[in-house]
Amino acid sequence: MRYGMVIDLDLCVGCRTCAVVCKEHNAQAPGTWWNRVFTPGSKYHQIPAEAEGGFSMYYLPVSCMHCENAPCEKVCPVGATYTDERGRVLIDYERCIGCRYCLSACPYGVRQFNWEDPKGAKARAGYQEGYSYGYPFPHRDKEGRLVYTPDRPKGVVEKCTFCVQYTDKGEEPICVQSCPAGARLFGDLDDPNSRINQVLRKEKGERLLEELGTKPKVFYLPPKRK
Amino acid sequence: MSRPAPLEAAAKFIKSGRIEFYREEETFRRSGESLPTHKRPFAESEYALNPSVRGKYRLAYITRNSLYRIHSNHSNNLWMNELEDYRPKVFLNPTDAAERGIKDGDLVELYNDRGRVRGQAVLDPGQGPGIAIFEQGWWSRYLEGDSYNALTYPFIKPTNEVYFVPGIWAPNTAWNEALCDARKVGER
Repeated sequence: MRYGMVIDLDLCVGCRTCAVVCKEHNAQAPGTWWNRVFTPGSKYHQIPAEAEGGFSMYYLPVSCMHCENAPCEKVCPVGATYTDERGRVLIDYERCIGCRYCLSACPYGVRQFNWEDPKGAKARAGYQEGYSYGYPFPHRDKEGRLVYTPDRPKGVVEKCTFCVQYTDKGEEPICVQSCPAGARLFGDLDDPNSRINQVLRKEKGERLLEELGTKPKVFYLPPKRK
Repeated sequence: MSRPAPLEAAAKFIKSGRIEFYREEETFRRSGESLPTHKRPFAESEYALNPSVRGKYRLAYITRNSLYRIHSNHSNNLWMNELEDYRPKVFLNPTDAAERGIKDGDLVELYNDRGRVRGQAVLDPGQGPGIAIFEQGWWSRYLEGDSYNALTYPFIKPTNEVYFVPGIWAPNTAWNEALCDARKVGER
């Protein structure tokens, strides 16, 4: 099994719901965003960018690409970042030593570092004391590696896990479940009959920075009208 | 399936109970609006209130809804604030901005005789010229104590006073019937 995602950029309306639910369900501390939505070419979201022959405006959601050939995994000196049996690139929070080699290795800039205990970050940002959010339980993989915990320890790197706590139960990642435009599809790239493979047979999916050879498992259907 | 409102309900504010293109109430006739008509912006509002603002304030002040709030709800929502860099913004057409020496990212003030509001300039080439947009709902604490509604005036369209059906037809401030101008007050 190899999980993958297809994002149809013609359907994406740029509402950033996926970014917000991701932040909520995965208990991201203030300032941390696993999932972002950009307006390519523009400094500001939902402002058109100059393009050949006029202007263009479309939206690009970006989170971990779960690369087959993941640069972050290769540079990790302690094997904290690994690819699991379902193709998810995960981080063992108990093994990560916080060297941040992976932050500079990732060409997509999606990895983020816990400079402090998230409780301190929340208090400083002005959250009410005792307020917590997100999936409330720690989650371990089959070998017992800690791949999700609501309060990440200080000094570890984090990023999108394809919602490992949900996909392990057969549910879809929360960004897929919540997208009001139905722009995201999730499924098994090894299963020729999966919905994402059916779509990818019909339309050419593009991958970000394909020339680097990272082989992302997140595919984009480019907008037909920019 | 969606059906039209029952006739007797709709007839409370439209005599025939259905869309009417011709209205013969006195107020409509007096305003010259018995038939759908276009009226020059500001002629019966800003220019009537104070003729000296003609040419002095050259931008229509529009307070639109933001992607990051429901009116003013969530104005203090930290995640929403993170998504817009904690910065209220003033959206201008690039030509209007250039005329006033305003560059992308400058701290800009929208002002008229009634008040002012400040924000970071964002130049939107898709926005029509002659318009300054500020997103409604920002609490005063994010605006250095100012309010975006200091610039507006409670103009009420007379034809809106003909009926009173809450939420459907009632007098309300014409929020976007306001003139302002923009000036640069700082750089970021």
